[in-house]
Amino acid sequence: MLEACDVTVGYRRGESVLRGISLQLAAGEWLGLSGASGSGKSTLGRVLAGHLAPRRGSLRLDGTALPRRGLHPVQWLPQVPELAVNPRWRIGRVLNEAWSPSAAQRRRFGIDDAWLERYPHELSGGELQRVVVLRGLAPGVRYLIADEITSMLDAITQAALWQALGEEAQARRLGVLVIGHDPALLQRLCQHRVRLEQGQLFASS
Amino acid sequence: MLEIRQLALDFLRYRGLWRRETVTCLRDVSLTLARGELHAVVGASGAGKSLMAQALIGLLPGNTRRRGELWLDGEPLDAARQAALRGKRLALIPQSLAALDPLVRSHRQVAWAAQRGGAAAPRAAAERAMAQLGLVGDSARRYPHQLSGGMARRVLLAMATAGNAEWLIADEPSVGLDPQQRDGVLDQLRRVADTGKGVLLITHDLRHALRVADRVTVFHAGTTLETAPATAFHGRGEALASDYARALWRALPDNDFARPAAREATQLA
Repeated sequence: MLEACDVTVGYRRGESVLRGISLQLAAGEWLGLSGASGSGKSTLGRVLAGHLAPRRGSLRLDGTALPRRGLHPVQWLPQVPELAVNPRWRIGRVLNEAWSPSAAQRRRFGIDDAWLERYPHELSGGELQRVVVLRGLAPGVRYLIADEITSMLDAITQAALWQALGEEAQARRLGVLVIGHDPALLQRLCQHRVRLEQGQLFASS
Repeated sequence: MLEIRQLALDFLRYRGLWRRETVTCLRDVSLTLARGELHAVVGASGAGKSLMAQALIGLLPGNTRRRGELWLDGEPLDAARQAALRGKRLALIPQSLAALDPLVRSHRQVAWAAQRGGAAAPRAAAERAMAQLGLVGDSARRYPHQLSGGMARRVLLAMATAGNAEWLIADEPSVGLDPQQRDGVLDQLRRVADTGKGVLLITHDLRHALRVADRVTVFHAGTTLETAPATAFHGRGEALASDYARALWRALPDNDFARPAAREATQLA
């Protein structure tokens, strides 16, 4: 169980983006998170993944604090893959940075062996997104923060990526926080859905 | 009428120091855009939609070879004519936010665009175009790096509408916007078409393009597979001619949310 207790985060002095948020994500659970742009969805995702330290409040994984070094068991998957890879590295090096996915795993995510020799700008956004998602699935990872990962993709590529991720998540009982704007997509993927409004979480129907 | 007839594009690139190879990006692209029409072009990223837009306004990278024909109102649209019309009668809303000048406040950039388009009072035209998109007061005067992604998109759209171009090519104008902003941008494009202009909307977002488009062209692997009225995307897609268009429609989360089975996928490719 990944837990955030009474988390408050802000960027400017005296202003809070998230105000006393508590959230639980169980192993194997898919939770949908929506909210207007600028409401703090990505901020919450980045706090959970350890990219951002909260001002107040705590994060716990199965009752203990999250590790400060080494592989972080909560991985953040970004909306724009171009900004999440080293543009000077070939895809093979990008993909194998944290772990080495097997050929079968690469195939499930539709990653062509010919891409491994290419540079990131030689792939399309949808192709690169699959590389970035698979890169984030190292063996020690237990929770994923999928931050609008398919909003730049066409419907077929979107469905294919979620299907591949869904199979992997089911096999490993990964908990997934799906951040997105598309109610139909969140409804399709997630058992529960919440909404961020004015720094607070509300249950969403 | 703006016409693309069997457009094909090859990229020349070097493999190592000496060997040169050609990569085909567009194979067979044909479509027509009428005045007053909003025509959506949908397809996967990497299918070549943006290249088609660049070819239309004549801003292709140097290492490309083009075949096929472009026509505007019954006359060929060649490089000289493209250069003369670009920014005046023919405008592109580029996909990349890097198209904004980082050193100039956004309202001035919009005014420049209005001036290029021949507006009598460029500042007033710029202000009007920005106000229509909700860019007023302080937010209209910011530098590009002070804008959110959604605001920067709207500035680009305002630049294209302030110039009062007759033909507007919008390349992924709603990417990264929240639903409210996205609907605002799409509604604005619809209004532009309703004033008798031709709007080509390039997008991967079939669902929301359908709400505003008259016709939809489905793009796959550098080829325009079919052009259908927006109303053909309905039910299980029986009215659509190509398997790929039907698969795209059925893959939406509120339809089947399914990728085509492996066997079908190879047939589609």
